[in-house]
Amino acid sequence: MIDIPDEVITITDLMVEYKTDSGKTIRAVDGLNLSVRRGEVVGFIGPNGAGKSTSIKVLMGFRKPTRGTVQVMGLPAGHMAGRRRVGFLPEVALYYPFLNARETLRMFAKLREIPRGDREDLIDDLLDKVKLTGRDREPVRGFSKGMLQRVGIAQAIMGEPDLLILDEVTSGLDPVARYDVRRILMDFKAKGKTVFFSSHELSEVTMLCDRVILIDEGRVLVEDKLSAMSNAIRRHIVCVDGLLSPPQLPRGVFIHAVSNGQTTFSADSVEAHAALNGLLEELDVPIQHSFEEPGSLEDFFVHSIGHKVS
Amino acid sequence: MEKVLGIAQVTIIESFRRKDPYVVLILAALIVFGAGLFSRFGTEGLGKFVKDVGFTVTGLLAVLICVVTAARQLPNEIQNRTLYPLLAKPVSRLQVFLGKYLGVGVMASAVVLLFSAELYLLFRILDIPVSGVFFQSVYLRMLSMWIIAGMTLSLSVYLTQGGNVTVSMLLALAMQTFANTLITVRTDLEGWGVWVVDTLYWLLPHLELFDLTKREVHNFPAAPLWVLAALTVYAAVYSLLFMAVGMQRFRSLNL
Amino acid sequence: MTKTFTGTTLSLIAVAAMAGLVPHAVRDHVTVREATYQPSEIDAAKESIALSLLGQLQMSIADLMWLKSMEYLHRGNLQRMPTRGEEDLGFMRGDSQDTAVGLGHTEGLNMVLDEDRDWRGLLGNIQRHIACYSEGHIHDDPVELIPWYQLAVKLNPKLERLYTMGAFFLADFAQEPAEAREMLVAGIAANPNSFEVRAALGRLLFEYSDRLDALKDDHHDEEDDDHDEMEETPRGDEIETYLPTSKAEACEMAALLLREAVDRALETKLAYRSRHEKFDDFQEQIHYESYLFLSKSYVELGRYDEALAACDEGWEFAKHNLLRVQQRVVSRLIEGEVDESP
Repeated sequence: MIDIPDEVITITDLMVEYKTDSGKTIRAVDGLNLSVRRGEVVGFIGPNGAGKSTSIKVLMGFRKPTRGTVQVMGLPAGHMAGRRRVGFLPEVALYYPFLNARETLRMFAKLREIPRGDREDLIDDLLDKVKLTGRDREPVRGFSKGMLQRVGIAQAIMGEPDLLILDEVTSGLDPVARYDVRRILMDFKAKGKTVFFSSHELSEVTMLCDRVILIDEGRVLVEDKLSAMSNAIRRHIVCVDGLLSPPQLPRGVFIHAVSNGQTTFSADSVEAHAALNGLLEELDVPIQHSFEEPGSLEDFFVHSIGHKVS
Repeated sequence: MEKVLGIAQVTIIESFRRKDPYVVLILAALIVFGAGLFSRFGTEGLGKFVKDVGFTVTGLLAVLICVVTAARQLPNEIQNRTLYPLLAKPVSRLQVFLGKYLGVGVMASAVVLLFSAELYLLFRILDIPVSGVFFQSVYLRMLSMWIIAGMTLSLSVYLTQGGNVTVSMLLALAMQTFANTLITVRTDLEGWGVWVVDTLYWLLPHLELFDLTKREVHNFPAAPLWVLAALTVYAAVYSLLFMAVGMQRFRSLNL
Repeated sequence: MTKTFTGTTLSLIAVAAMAGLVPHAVRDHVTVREATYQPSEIDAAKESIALSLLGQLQMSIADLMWLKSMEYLHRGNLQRMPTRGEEDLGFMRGDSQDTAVGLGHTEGLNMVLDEDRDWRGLLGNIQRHIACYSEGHIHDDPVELIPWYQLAVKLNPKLERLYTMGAFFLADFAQEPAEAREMLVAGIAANPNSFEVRAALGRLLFEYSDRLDALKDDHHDEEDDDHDEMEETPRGDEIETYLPTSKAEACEMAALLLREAVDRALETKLAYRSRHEKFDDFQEQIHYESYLFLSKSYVELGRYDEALAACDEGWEFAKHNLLRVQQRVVSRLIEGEVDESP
């Protein structure tokens, strides 16, 4: 058994290039640096093609980096001893269509080196956790995406790993399944384990993470605590009476809501706020009330890379 | 070893639950029985033909099942993303590769045994005598399945699935023709030409050497035991060679 | 994919089984009448794609059966012609060495290398124990192949060699000369221009001229009785179906058939030559044997000059030492040195 280091994941100057079928070289990750400390829950976010999945593949030892070093549990990525302490969930896998959930987990239990005598009890426990009890004898090929993801989570958390690495954990799940997954991860977090996960569902990240790493074009754009990110984007909310729809809103100003005979504007910067106030004055519309609030992760995401996505 | 066996077990269960072996088993029975129906047309004494058809059909179908099963193992694992959670566990790529090989080998051998039992039964029903060569041919056919499994599994990390099936089927079924062509061409060559043909000849896996069925069809005596022993060694060497070549690539494959 | 494959194969098997079994089962209940089709209907049938495809399948199966019959006849011991390199090294075509009388013919080298020309050491040795290998050229019991030929000519009546081979095995190995004759008569009917089948029938009549009863088919007694009443040996279209009643008549008919056979063979050979093609071994053999038996038939009939002329002609167009031997025998007969032909 290896000791768990303070930094369970360390990625230094990671570069990953691959060749397309047409022979073109694509740089998926370009000088990525990040670290995850023991007990942290870190969200790894970024737009499509930012290099999240490629980075995770390198982290798990599935791909060799073109340059840079990657350490997991203080060992080189993919090291056998490291893998004994890591649980991994890939982006929705189809598993073995002709096996049932119990047989699938039984195989993973063998690979996980769970003692033979403990396997069935452990599988029962896991099936209960992911709410698949009673469906465990059905062939996996009849499972929905959500149920497959439950099987995936069960195999990932099997054997109480110290680090969970999850790729698009809630991808394609319905709200109930998402809630269940969140609950399992919260339990995991409560036990002081480390979780590193990528997701498109920013609300999940907000609910689970201590820290967020935002990457784009293979580099870390921002790496900070969630609260700090939210504070970095402060929104100015302005409410006026009546249903107002000016022909041209200043840059950075959006109509936030129209309800109860009131129109609410949101300005994402001090400059935008000033411009909005100027416009309302020009239109001779009195401001009913105005306040400032921290931005959401989504605001931050859009603010940071939204222009590129669009 | 338990990890290798675990992966092999999944491969075997998957293959049999797909029902492919059972479908071809029924198919083979129908074809052999159909050949036996020739006697209904007033032509007696075609036991040789029924045997020939039986061995040819079951041989072809066994190779087909073995090749298709072996060819889909790793590509399907990657496509279905099941290889990732597998390799995320404390399992080496060598163990995964060996598990797959073992699974396909056992499955294909079981298919050969099933086919042989079926043939034996059909021959008995059709009153066609069977000699000891039949049992030798079953053993050699099972051995050849291990070479074919190794070859196809290894090629699956180099070729696309369709390309692999085509190449493996050709190598498995047309080796007799390739070998005969090389031998014939060699007689008219000199210098480097001979060297090229010799190299090719020695590199190719001579799966035609594992087909004793024609001896059974034409009432030849059983092969000496030393031949079976030599072919067992030959099969082991070629399986190892294929596995080494495949493993070399699989180990460094970026998934 | 499995479902489609299985479905297609099962359908094919079902169609094939129906095609084969239905006529077999109902034939006793069916009355055959001559059809009266309009020429346009016949043309339409000839151009039918479905019929063409089925016909192709039928021909292919017959061809496969022919190839398989050769494999079975040689006990799976496949042979090929020697290459130039092998001939330079002295590996020549060889004669069959087994004891099956009448099956003697020249073939190539074993496909599986013989020990004296093998360069593969242990691997070659293993192959000789795995393949259907035997030193020299061997044959299996040809009687087993007779039903095979009978079935194949039903599928493709144009494969004339199946008639000659089948009849040969029937007469010489199965001791069924009447069936052999029946097969050859059917062969000529299906291939009126074939010299091979005609020559085989001529030879059969000559060889059984002393035992004509053996050629009688029990089913055709009434027909045979009609022939018995004929006073002259028939000519033209009747030759093939007529069963001679005396040795002289048999020899006369044999001579007529063989004469026609050698003429057609020569015609065919010249046509081949104009296309830069050659007779194969079997055709060559039939060609010179036809002259030989033609000469022998004439000898039996006491027509020595014609016998000698047949030898001379044979020597000119189908050179073979046996024709020289026959030539000498006939010459001596003419000179009154010997009493009988060899």
